[in-house]
Amino acid sequence: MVRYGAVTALHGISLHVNAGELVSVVGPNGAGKSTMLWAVMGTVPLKNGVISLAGRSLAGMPPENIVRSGIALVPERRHIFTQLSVLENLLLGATPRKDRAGVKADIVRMLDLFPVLETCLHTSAGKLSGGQQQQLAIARALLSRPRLLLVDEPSLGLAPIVTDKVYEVLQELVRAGIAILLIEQSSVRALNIADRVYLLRSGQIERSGNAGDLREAVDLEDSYFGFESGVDRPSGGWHSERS
Amino acid sequence: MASSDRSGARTICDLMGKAAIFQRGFNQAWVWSWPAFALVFLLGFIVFLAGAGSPYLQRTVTAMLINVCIVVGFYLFVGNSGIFSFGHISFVAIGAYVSGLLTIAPDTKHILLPNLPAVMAGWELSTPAGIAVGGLAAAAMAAVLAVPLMRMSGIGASIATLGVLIIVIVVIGNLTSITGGLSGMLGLPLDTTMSSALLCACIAIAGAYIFQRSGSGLLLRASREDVAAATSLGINIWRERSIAFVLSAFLTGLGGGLFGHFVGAINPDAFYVGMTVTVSAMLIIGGVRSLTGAVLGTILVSALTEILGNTALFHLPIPPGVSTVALATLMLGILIFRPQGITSGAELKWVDPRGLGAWLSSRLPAARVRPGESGR
Amino acid sequence: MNLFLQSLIDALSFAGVYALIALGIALIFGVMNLVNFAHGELVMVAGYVFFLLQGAPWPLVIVATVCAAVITALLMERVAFRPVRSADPTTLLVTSFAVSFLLQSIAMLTMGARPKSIEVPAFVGESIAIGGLRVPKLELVTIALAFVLLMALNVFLRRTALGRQMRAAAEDFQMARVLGVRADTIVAMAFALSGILAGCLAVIYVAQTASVSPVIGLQLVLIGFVSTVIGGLGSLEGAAIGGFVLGFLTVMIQTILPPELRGYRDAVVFAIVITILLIRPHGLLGSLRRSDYL
Repeated sequence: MVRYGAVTALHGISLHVNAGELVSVVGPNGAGKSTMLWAVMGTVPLKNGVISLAGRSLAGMPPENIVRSGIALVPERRHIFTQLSVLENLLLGATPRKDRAGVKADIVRMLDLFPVLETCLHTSAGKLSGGQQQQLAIARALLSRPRLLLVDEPSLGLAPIVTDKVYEVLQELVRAGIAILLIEQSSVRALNIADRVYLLRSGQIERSGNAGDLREAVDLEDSYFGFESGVDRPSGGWHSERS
Repeated sequence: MASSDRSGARTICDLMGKAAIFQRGFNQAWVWSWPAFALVFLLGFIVFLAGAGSPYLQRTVTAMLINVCIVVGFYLFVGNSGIFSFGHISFVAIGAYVSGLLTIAPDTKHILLPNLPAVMAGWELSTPAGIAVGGLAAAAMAAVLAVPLMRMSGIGASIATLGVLIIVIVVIGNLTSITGGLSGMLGLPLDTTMSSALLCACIAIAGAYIFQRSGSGLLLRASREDVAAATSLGINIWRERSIAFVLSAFLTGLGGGLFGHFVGAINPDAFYVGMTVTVSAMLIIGGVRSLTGAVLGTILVSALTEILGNTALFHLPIPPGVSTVALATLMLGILIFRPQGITSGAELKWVDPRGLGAWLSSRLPAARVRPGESGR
Repeated sequence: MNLFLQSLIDALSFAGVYALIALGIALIFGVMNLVNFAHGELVMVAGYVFFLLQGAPWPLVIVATVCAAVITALLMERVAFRPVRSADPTTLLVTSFAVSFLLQSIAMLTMGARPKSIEVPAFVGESIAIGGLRVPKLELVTIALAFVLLMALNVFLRRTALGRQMRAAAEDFQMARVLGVRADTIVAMAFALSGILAGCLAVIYVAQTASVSPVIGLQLVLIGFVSTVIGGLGSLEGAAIGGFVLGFLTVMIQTILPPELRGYRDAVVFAIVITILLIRPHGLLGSLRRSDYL
């Protein structure tokens, strides 16, 4: 349970993510999705509850140690260090690591994965476009070699083509064995690449299940838009996007 | 017969109804103003006790009351706006010097301040008038300063007020013909008594309380928490801050005048770091956000300084400076462990006597009857 | 012309000192939103250590002085500031005010309120002749020291991992932590660095004035404050530049003012500062994103 002052933001949430699995959390804005991620990372205090990684409890750990346990965060709105260069941002992602050669090798791998970053390695990160910043944020998070990656609304403000690229990368990562918890606004895309889905509304989990099953549930979009199921829905647009 | 009875009954009912309304209104007014009244009663009680004590005690209490006036004035601005005005003592200085200029007998002025412009040399007001004008002068200066200062961010404004204090002190120190410069201004009529100090303290408490319960005070406190939110609600932060700043300066200036007529001789050094620290400590320890805190903090710190500075009391050789260290440690301790001060930002609440009885009985342990004992 | 150059060197020396003070304050503000009122007391404590050790071989004295400042800074951080780290900026400011006052009163209690005079080696007062000017050696040393420290700080921040982490933490503390930057280490580092700056400053100050008293911190911290605010809170470059501006301004005003008005120097300087703040409330280099946290 997470409280911001007198307001209880999250209540009674239970999630799990397995290695090599992409789990998506969808839900309307204000449902508490971002709060949940910051709580996992230890920056927002938990009133009560359990967060554990591979059986080890992470409750009460400061963020610095949670990262060292193998969880990395790609936050909503990226939180890139605009005053630092792209390379410096990447190096910061590797803060917990001591193997300099390994870090170098990983940076090279990241540049392979996200070629656009190579051209602006020494530019100040504030000058990058939204899409480039998003890729930088993911690369930076990956540099700590996490076992679990938390990704918060990566498609926010990005053109669809760039979002496609980002999602491709996420799928590759999952195939490589990393567990990913993906929070998304656009439930269609999330459903398409997720193995399992949770629906979060007003701080509580409403539904969960395999993505395949939920994809068919019509009232999923309604939950997103806030309508009661069965009542007037806007026609066209949404339905046709799903293929 | 019957009709006159009825009209008599009706009149009585009318009167009773009016009395009830009056009673309710009075109750409401009483409850509303209780926090301020309580403080006034408290101070009055202290004065009453001191009246029976030695002249030394009375002087100490008078000094404390002057501090109450200054600290409450300080609180009016800091507590409501959230901006810690480091340079507020400049208003104390203005109040003191202006009142001095207005009230020192012309003959004395002629001797001590020979280069005073003739116009000023002729001024002679009664002390109360002088103090009042001193307060107004401080308020006027605050009104002018508010234009640039109140637009700044919190920390910027705090530092800027410090700059103002320095400017004021430097100017006073250099304007020797008018202020007596670094050697100071002498000859202020020693008219501050315990009662006049009490009166000013009460005026300050009343003023601060009315302000904080007023619409302006409420708007200001809203902006204290969240500037962006307040602005988006259409609150004119600059205006509310300025109002508080000017009112605060007036009350603080009154305190300054009182101070001047208490010590009789003032110099720029008296209004610098020492007083700033003392006043700040009193407010912080009591609780920055409450009027009760301002008053209680002043009483507490005055008592503490007195006890610690009074080596005769314990027959221990307490070196001078211990009280300052103790004060500093206390202030720091409060900031670390209880940043809202002793009162935690709360005011005294009116406790309904009927409710009090119920509360007490709920707290007392239930009577236990031991076996073998009868109800004796 | 000579007079102008003389004033210029004077001004540079002043400006360098002011920039150092400003940096000490800006470093800490960068990582924890705290304007450290007690920074001046670091110089004061270091100055007293110098006083206590005077007569010993001077390299030892200098090292001890700087160490004293660093230790005091770290203590300050651990005892007074760590518990209140997440408080709002005004509370932090007032806390540092309390720390400053505490240190001052302890100094007054233990050392007495009167200034203590310090013997400085003779060469400190000497001047060198450069192209027709008599330049005090001390001023040259000051300028050189300021330059070296500024460069060293710059290298540290830009070329080392810890420096990188500090810059990141200064921009977005929460995100830095989430990447693994240890909050406690970074804050302690910032205090240690500001301690080094304060310690070096103390050496210069003592050499210049040959005395130390409990209240010297106030004047210095005021300068540092004002410099950072002029340059823009939240920017290290801004602090340094603010320090330079204030230093030059002070010397300029001093030279320009006619003798009768010399006493008003500080008042004039502060009046100008307030004007600058009026025109640019966020400081000359300040940006909206940082100063608005206040």
